[in-house]
Amino acid sequence: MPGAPGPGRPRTAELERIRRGLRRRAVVARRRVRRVARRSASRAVHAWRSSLQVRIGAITMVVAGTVVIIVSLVLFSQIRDQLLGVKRQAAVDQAQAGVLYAQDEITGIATGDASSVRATLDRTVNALLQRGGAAGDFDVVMTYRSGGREVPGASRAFIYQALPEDLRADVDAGNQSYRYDEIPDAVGEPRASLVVGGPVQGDTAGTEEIELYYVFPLTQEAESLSLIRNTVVISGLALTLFVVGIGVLVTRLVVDPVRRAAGTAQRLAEGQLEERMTVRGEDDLARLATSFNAMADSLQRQITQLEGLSQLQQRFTSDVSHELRTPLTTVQMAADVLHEARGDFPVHVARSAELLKGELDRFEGLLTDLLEISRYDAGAAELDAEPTDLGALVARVAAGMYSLAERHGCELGVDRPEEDVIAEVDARRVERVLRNLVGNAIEHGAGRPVEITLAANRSAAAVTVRDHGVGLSSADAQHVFDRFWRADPSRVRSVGGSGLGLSISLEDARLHGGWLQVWGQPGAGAQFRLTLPLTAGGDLTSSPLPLRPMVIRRQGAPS
Amino acid sequence: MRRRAGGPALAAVLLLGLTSCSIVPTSSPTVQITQAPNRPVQDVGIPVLPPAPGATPEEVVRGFIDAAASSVRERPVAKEYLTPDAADSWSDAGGITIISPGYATAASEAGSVVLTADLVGTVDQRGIFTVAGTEPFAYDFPLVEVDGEWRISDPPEGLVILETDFERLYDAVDAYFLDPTLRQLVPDPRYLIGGEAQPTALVERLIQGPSAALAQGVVNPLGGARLARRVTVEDQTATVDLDDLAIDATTPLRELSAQLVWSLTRLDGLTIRSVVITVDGEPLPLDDVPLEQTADDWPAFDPDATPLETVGHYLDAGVLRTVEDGAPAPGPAGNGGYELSAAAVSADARTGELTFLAGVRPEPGQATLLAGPYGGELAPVLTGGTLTAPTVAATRPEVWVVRDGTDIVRVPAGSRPQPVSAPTLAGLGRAQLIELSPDGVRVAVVVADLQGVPRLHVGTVVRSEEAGVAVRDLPQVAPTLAPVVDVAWRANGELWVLAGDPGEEAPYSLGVDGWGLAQQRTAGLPDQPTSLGAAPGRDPLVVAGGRLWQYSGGRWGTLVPGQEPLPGSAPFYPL
Repeated sequence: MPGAPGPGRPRTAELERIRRGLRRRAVVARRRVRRVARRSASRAVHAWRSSLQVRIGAITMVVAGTVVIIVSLVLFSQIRDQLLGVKRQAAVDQAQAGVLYAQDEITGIATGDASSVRATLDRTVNALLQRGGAAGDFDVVMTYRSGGREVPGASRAFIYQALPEDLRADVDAGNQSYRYDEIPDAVGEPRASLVVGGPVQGDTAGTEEIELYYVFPLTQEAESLSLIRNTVVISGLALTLFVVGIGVLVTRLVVDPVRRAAGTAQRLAEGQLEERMTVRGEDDLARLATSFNAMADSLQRQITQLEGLSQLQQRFTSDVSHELRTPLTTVQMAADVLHEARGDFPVHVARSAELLKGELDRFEGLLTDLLEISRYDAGAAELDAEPTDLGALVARVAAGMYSLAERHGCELGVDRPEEDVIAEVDARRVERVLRNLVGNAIEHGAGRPVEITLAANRSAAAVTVRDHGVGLSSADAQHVFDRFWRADPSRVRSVGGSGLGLSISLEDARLHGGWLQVWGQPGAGAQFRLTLPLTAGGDLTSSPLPLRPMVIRRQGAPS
Repeated sequence: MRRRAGGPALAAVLLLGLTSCSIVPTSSPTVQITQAPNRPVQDVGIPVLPPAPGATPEEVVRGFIDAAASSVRERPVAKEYLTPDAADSWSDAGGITIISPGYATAASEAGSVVLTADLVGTVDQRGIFTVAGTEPFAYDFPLVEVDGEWRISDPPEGLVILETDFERLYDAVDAYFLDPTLRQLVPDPRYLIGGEAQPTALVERLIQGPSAALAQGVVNPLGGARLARRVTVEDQTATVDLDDLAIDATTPLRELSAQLVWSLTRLDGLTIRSVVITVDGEPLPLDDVPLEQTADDWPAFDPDATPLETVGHYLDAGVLRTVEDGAPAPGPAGNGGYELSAAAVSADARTGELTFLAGVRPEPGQATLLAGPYGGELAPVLTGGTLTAPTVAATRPEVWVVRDGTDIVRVPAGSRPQPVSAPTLAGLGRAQLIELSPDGVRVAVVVADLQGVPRLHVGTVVRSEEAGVAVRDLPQVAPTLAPVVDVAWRANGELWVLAGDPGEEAPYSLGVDGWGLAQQRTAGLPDQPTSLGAAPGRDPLVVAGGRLWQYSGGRWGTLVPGQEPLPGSAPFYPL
C-alpha cells in the first residue's frame, strides 16, 4: 500500500483496515437484507395465495389508495394555487396603489438636495408601511438611483441586499413585475416571499430612477398549506384504511360461511356422514347450505346402502366358502382314497379318479382364493411386515417355479443387484404375489424366456416379471386385475386359473402401500411390475424400474 | 399482480412527497405585470444647452457652468459635459459654489482649463449661505477626449453656478425659529430651489433645525418631529402632515403653528395663504385657532412687527428728541441735562410703551452709561474708558454696550451690569459699534481689525442658565465692505450698513448671512451719510451733513415733509 512515508503509513494502513471492515459489514448486511426480503416476500406470496381476505384487502388498498392519492393531489394543488393566487392579486394591487402614492410623493424631492431625497424615501416608506392591505404582512423598499449611485430606503435591515437581481433588472427596464424568492426575515433567516416591484415615474422624464419594491412573506400561506396538506394526508390515509377495513369486513361475511362449508365438507369426506351445515336466512349462502345438506343426505344414504350391500356380499362369500369347505374336505378325502387306489381300477375308472382329484384340488384352490378375497373385502387382512432380503426371496420363488418353467420350456432368468435389498414386507404375501406373476408369465410365455428383475432405490424396491408371449392389448391391461376376468377363457391353466390370482396380488401390493402395474403389447409379451416401499407405511413416489420395458423383442426374433 | 400494483403506488408516494416539500414556492421566474407607459418630456422652464459637437475645452467648461442653471433633477444636461465615468459619480447634491458672472477661463496645453472667478459664497447642503472671503475661486478642469469630443473628467464637488443663475433659480427663504423667550420669530436664511418641492424642502429644513451658527441661540418647536407626507399646496392652502410629535402640556404648539405659518406664507414662488397642520392625521388641539391658519392668526409673531408707539429718536446737542417733529423727549433727557452722545430706548413688548432709556455721556478720559426709566431720572450704571453707543433688543429691557472696545456688557433694566462672554472678540480687534437685532438673537459688531479697518461681524447671542450670556462666534459677513461706518438692523434678517472710504460712504443692505449685498440709493442726500438708524417696518434714518434724513418712497427726504431738515445725530428707534 503506497502510503506517505513516516507517520503517515500506519494511518493509511489503519484507514484501509477500517475501510475493508466496513465493506465486509456492508456486504453482510446487504445479504441479510436480501434474505429477509426474500423471506418476507415468500411469506407475502403465501398469504396472498392462501387467504381471500388478504387478496381482497390488498386490492382494495391499492385501488382506494391510488384514487385517494390522485384526488388529494388535485385538491391540494387547487387549494394551493387558489391561496397563492389570491395573495398574489392582493399583493399586486397593493403594490400598484403604493406606486401611485409614491409617484405623488416624489414631487417633493428638490433638485440637487441629497437630504431631500433621503427624507422623501424614508417618509414614503413609512407612509406605505402604515397602509396595510388584504395581502397581510409586508415590507417596503424604495430606491433612488442616479448614475452609478443608489440610495435605498427600506423598512428594515437585510431586505435591500436580498432583492433578486433579475427582478431588479426587469423593473429597471420599466416593467412592474413580481417573483417568488427567499428573503431574510428580521433575524436574517431566509423565508419564502413574494416580491413585487415597479418603477415610480413622475410626470416627467428625469434621469433619476426610482423603484418601489414590496416584499410579502408567505409564512401564513405556508402555515395554512402545511395544515391543509397534513389534514389531506391524514384524512386520505384514514379513508384508505377505512375502505380497506370495510372491504375486509365485507369479505369476512362471505368468507366465513365458505370456510365453515369447507370444514363441514372435510369432515364429511373423512367419514363423518352425519355432518350438516346450519342454514341461516334465505340468501345465497343459505341456499348453498341447503344444497350441501341435500347432497350430504344423498351421499350418506347411498354410502350406507352400498356399505350394507358390500357387507352382505362379503358375508355371503365368506359364509358360502366356509359352508362349502366342510363338504369339500370330505369329498377331497374320498377322492384321495380313490386316487390312491386307482391302480386297482380299470383304466377309464382310474382316469376318472385322477380327473376327480385334479378338479377337486382346483376347486379347493378356488375356495381358498375366494376366502382370501373375502378377507380383503372384510378388511380383515393383516400385514405382517418384517425386514426381508428381497433378493433371497426372488431367488426362492424362481427356484420354486423352476420345474414349471422346464415343463413349459421357458427359460427363467433372475436379474438382481449385488447388494442386498432389505425391505419391510410380509414375505409370505410377497412370495405369493411373485409366484402368481411368474406362474402367469410361464403359462403365457409361449416357451420364450421369462425375465425376473429386482431393483431398488432409496425409497422403493421393484420386481418386474417379463414374458415374451402372447401379450395383452392396452384394453386387456385395464381389466387384467378384475376378479374372475380372463383374457382368453379357453386357455388351459396348469397353475392358478381361478381368475382371482391377480386380484389377490393387487390387494397384497396395496396392503403394503405399493403398486402392481402391467404393461402389454400384443405379440411382444407383457411385463408386470411390483413396487414396494422399503419401509412399511412409506409413500411411494416413483419406481426404480420402468413399467414399459426398454427393449422390445419382436415375436420370432432371436433372443 | 403484486408487482404491477406496487409500481404505481410507489410513484404516487414519491409524487406526494415531492409536492409536500415545496408548499410555497421559494423561487420562480420573474413575471411581468404591466408594460412601462411612455412618459411625457418635461416642460423645462429654462432650457440649458447640451455640448455642441466639436466644442473646444473652454466652451465645454463654460457650457458646464451654464448647464448648472437647470431645475431638472440630477441636472442631466450638465452630466452630458462629463465623461461617462465622471457622470456616474458626480452628483449635483454637494454644496453650491456661487461665482460672479465675470469669470475667466484659460486653456492649457494638456487639455485642461483653469477657471478663475470671484467667489461670492457657498451654499452648503442644508441651504445655508456662507459668504466668501476675498480670495478668488480657481479650479483646474481636466478634460479628455471621448469619441472625439472634449469632456470634463473630474468636475468639482457639487455645483458651480453663476450668481445670476443662482438668483434666478434659487429663492432666499427665511426659516423661522423662536428666540428663547418664545415671543419672536428669528429668521434663518436658506436658499431653496424653486418649484413644487420648495414647501416640502422648507419644512424639512425647519425640522432639521437652525444652522450651526444660530443653533445655540434659538428654540425649535419642530425639532424631533417628522413629515409624514410631502407638503401639498392646493388653492393656496398648504397641508403639513407631521408625525412623531409628542403632544403634551409643555409642547409649544402655538409657537410651532406660528413658525410653520409664517415660514410657509412668506414663500415667494407659490403663494400660500393658509396652512393646515395635522399631527398623525389629527388637527392640532388649539381651540381658538381655525383649521386653516393664516398669518393673521398669529399677529404677535410677525417678524416685521415693531411696537406701535415706536417713533424714531435722535440726539441733538445732548438733547433727546423724537423724529415726528423734532420735539424733545419727555423727561430730563429731553432737557439736555445729561448731555448724551448716544442713546437707546426699550419699549414694553406687550403694550409698546417706552419704558427704559439708556445713554452714553462722554467725559474727559472716560465715558459713563446712564440708565433709567424713560421720561425719568437717569443714573450712572457703568463707566469705562470708551463706551460704544448702547443698543436694545425688542424682546428684553436690557441694554448692551461695549466697554473699552473688548468687553461687552449688558445692563438689564433696574439691575446691575453683567458681562457678556465674547471670547473671540479680543482676537478680532477693537469693537466700535454694537447693534442687537430686534429679536435679540443676533448681534452685529463693527470691529476694527488688526489693520485698523472696521469690518462687520455678526454673531449669535447664546443665553444659558449656568454660563450666562455669551456671544461665541463673530464671523465676518461682508468681507468686501470696508471700512464700515455704521450698522443698523432694518429687519431681523436684513442689515443696513454705511460703508466706504471717507467721503464715499454709501448705505448698503445685505442679508444677515452676507447674501445680497446691494448698495442703496443716495438720491436726495446732499452729503455722505455718517450715521444710521433703522427698525423693522420703519423708514431708515441717516445723518448726512449734520442733518437728519428719512428714507421713504425710494429717496431720502426730510423728517417732516416740506420742512427744513432737522439737525441731529445718532438716530435710533426704540425697540
